[in-house]
Amino acid sequence: MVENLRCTLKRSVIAPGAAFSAVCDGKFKRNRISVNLVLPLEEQTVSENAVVPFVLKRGKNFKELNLKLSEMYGADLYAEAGSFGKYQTLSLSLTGISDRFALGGEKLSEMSAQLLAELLFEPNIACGSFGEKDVEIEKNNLIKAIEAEINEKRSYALGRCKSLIFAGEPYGIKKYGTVELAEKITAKSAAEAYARIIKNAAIEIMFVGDGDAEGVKRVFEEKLRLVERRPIEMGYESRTAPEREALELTEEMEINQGKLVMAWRTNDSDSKEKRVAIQMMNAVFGMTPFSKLFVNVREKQSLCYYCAARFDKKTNVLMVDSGIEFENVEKAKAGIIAQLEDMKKGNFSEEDIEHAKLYMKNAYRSVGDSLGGLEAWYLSQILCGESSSPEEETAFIDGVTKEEMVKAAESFTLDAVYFLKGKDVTGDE
Amino acid sequence: MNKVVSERLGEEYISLTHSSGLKMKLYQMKGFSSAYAMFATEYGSIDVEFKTNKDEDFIKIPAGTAHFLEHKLFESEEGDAFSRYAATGASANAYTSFDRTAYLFSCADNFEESIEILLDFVTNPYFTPETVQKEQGIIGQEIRMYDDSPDWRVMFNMIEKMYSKNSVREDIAGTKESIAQITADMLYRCYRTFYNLNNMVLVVAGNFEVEAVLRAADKILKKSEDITIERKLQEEPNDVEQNYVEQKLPVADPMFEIGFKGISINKEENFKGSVLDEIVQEVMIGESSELYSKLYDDGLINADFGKEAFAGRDYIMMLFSGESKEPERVFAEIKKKVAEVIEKGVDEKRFEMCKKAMYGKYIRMMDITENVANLLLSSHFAGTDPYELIEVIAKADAQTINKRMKECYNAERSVLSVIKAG
Repeated sequence: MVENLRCTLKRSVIAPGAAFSAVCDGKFKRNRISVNLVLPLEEQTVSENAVVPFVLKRGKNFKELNLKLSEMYGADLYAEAGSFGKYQTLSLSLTGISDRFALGGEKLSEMSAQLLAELLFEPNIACGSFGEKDVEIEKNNLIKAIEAEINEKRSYALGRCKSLIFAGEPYGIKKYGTVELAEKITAKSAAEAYARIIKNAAIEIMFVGDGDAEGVKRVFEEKLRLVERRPIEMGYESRTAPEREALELTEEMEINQGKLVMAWRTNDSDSKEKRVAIQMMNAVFGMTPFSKLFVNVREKQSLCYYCAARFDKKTNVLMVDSGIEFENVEKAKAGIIAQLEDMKKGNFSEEDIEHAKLYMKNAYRSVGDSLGGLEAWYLSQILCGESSSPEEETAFIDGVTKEEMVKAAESFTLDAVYFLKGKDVTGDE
Repeated sequence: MNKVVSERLGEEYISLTHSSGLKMKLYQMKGFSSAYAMFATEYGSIDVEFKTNKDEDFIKIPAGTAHFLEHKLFESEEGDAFSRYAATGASANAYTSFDRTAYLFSCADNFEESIEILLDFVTNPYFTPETVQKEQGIIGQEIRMYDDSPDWRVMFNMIEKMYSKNSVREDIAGTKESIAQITADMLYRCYRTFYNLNNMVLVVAGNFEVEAVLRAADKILKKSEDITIERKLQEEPNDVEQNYVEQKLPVADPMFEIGFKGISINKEENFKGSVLDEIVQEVMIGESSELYSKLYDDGLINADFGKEAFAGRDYIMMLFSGESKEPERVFAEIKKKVAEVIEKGVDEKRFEMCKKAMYGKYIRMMDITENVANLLLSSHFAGTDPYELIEVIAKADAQTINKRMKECYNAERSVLSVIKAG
């Protein structure tokens, strides 16, 4: 068990509403620092907030900044705007090699922290406005990115189904907002958004990997001392789903393969035990290549290449998606529903449960082997108000019984069916 | 058993040939909890016409056969490999590329049981006309999925216009029509040819016992008689077939893939050369370059812009991809840059900086079990090893690069592939 202590989290508050968390592990040859700014996800601010990390990523001089990154052994600077339940998450992150591989003994992790802190706290703002050109470029990129959602049909169909389910709720707000909202962004409105974000966001700084975590922490501590903060109160609660008849929507596009998305809701996930039982149920139902969906809908019925289920504990929604021939949609729906019914009837064996446990444990035990995995794990824990290590989470899996899994399956009600089909489908075989 | 050592990284791994004929590359990584294993054969979508020294005649197989065979190997009389892995908790998968087929798993526990499953199912083929037919439905949907994927289409349309004869121009999964011609007999012949252990490699990276691998191999593997495989290759002209190709699909801004066709030497030289090409790409249009800033600031490329150097047995290319409202302008600018580098050589200062960045990139790759395994695999099939590759980067100099650019590339031997909304 000593081995596992390495990937435990050390977290401390370094300013009002701002925490620094480190997961240090010398087995890595790299480290990754990310600054995550967390705010309520709101229609009126989503797009103008979303553009901010991308504008910040340009620094005061885009070209010089890129030269510096190149000098730091090609460190990867990355900006993103995303969402977590009903919160918006804006982040800047930097991944670079460990100090010990620097050919000239440079203190790379501290340099990385300095660079990130400069980008974040010393933006290119003059007279209450970002650089016009910077905002123009990143605003256009944001609009393009929103428009490009149609490019990948699988994720597009999933997104459309979410919009259907979460209409009018914060969970339904897209991470970049809409083209209409993004069009309204100006250099001034982005600077105002920046000021609000820096003042009000909950700030979670993560350091993962090999390097001088203390040095990194000091850099941010010093910078944050100079910032006036009125941080939001973070609270975590999962969504309560409305009772309703299942929603249905079919749309058309010029495509070759139909995309079916089905969603179920539950409101029975108010304890850790229940959530783990849902995950275990889902492992047998549709998350794994030995699950009912894979074995029956793909292998036996030969209907599709992928048919997979995922459960989101923040929204309490279970989603299944599959790519199929247009004319097979009813067959696929019936096949998928039949598998969930099977789960509700308890038509699965102790062996299935054992396999699901092994699968989940393997996934948890592997989290500590990648920087991305560790960062995502702990950030999600923190945002849910928890702090379990993957190892601690494993302990809950063993306690799950078949009855709990059946109960978990029974708690799901069909909430929406979305189908993306081709235009003028006449069969072109 | 041979230890391969890198003083630069302070690491080593084991390289050996098992008595069955199977080569092994075993890379233990301290402090890791999981292991990543791949059992692979040097057989991919480009191998379409071949024979062994025991066959009378060449056989020509339909496009997509290697990938089809990969799917089918997961099945045995007792059930599929996924259900066997279910009992160990390992997460398993497989893929087929242009020049290889790889079966893989990752696991944190029960390593020995999992590696036994891996070695066992790949060495025990079982197909019947019925199971072959069933798979046509599943793979048919996989192909359909790719037909709708602009990322995939833009790339394959480009390669198809870059190469006029080389089988690299065929889609890896084939077409609905080509896979309909595949029979169980055909699969057995491909299997006998390419799944000979002498043509295969097992790589493992991460947390595992070397002894466990050897025990499993001793238990499962039977000695393969060494054979010689002869592949019929098509003479490929140096020029591209066409400079421009376009397809209409529902996308927002047009998507593009730009390819420069290089002159192939052999797989080892191509593989090492492509690492140098990556440095040149960084010099020309890395994020720290003038050209990148200009194109980005003019709104001609965005953060999705990507570049890659790509090489195999008898093909080599430099690729640039992204989304742009004016792909033709991006193409013209990059062509101009390539011509300039060929004529005048790289800027020495930028070259040194980009080399350092590339060194950093490869160091960073070496702490992910999956990356280490993949690098071991690619470099093995190319006749080299990961450490040598890192040395190629560390020792690269501008003169070599300049010479290479002159001999290997020409700005006119290039293709622009575009996907735009109809």
